[in-house]
Amino acid sequence: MSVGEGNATVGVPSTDLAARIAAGDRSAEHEFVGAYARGVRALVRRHCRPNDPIVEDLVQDVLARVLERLRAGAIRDANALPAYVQTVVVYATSAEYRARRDTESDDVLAQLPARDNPLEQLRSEEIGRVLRHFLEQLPVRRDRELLVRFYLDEQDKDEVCRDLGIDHSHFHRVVFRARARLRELLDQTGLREG
Amino acid sequence: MSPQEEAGRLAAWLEEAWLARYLDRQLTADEANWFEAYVLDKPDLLQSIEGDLQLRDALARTPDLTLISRETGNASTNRAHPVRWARHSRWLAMAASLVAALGLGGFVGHRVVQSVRIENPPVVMLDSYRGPDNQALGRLESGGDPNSSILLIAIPIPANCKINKAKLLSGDTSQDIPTPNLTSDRFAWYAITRPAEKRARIELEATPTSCISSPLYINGSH
Repeated sequence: MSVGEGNATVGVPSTDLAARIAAGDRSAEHEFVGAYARGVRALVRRHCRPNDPIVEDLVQDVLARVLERLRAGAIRDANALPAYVQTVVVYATSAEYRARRDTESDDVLAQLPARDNPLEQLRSEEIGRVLRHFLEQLPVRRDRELLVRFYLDEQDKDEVCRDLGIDHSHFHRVVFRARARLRELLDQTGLREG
Repeated sequence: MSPQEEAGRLAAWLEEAWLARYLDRQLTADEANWFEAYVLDKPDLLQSIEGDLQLRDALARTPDLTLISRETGNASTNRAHPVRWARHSRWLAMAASLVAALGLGGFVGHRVVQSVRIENPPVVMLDSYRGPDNQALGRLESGGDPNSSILLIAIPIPANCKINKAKLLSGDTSQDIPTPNLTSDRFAWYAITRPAEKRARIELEATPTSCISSPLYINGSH
């Protein structure tokens, strides 16, 4: 089994998971991946740049590292496992971008090649089309600017509200509607994740 | 002990509160680390985070936004990437050097000019059709040349809106102006001579009538 495969349904992991993996129980390793792969993927994406093709590699990396420690019996307290996984996510993503900063220019960073997977490429293009349509439907340029400032420029919410002259409730309305509308569009086209 | 507590989960309302602050990036680094560990095995919370990520990734894919470098400079986001991002608005570039009266509906106001080279006129974007006292909010987006006698006005037009007539009113003067051609991001552009009076306004007659709810005021002192 390669790391990352397994049951996509996240279930509550058993409390003796760490002990079972340390004892060599392969089914427990499957259980671990099934329980945490989706969460690891979400956190890695959140800590990475948008659409960075390195995400899947980092997900594999994180799961493999944690499994290695579990097999070695280094994690005895099952309650500490989520925190350890989260720490490995932060470490792996930080190390990745640190390494890039040391070796590459910003221009290169901005032009990372897409994954070499035709189906994924097609899906990505289709999502792009849906999302362009979604943004065109936003009637007020300020709302588009709000989304770009917050999500792409990573401005602080308070700063966005101050600069655009809006209050927090308007901010949340725009973001909530944007997420909901996008979900709708992706559902209609069968492109939604999760 | 409630079922949620038995399952090691917070009360639903508390989870929502944490999730909202996490998605707003308003948790401290320690709080964010704790919450991320908490959500790892909770699919309902992960779904909300994934939805937020989809929106972010979607915006990044939008080809109309040209991304150049800018430091984010926010240490509290716990972001690993030092990537410098910024937006480069197409209409700011347009304002830098412009030949008016070509593709912008012409000069309006006190005189008509066939074609003239304009260097860096100020741009005023009318951001909302309603503001305090039911007056549109005009906002200066690009300072431009403060001595320029020209103002560029950008008006966002909703997707379902068709402009049938347009008028510029300044003091006692009322003048029909061309109905605008829209840019691909649905902005109507006008180049006008800076109004001598403090206030001028553009009135648009639209179908449906509800899509443009009030006159659009321009402060001549911009």
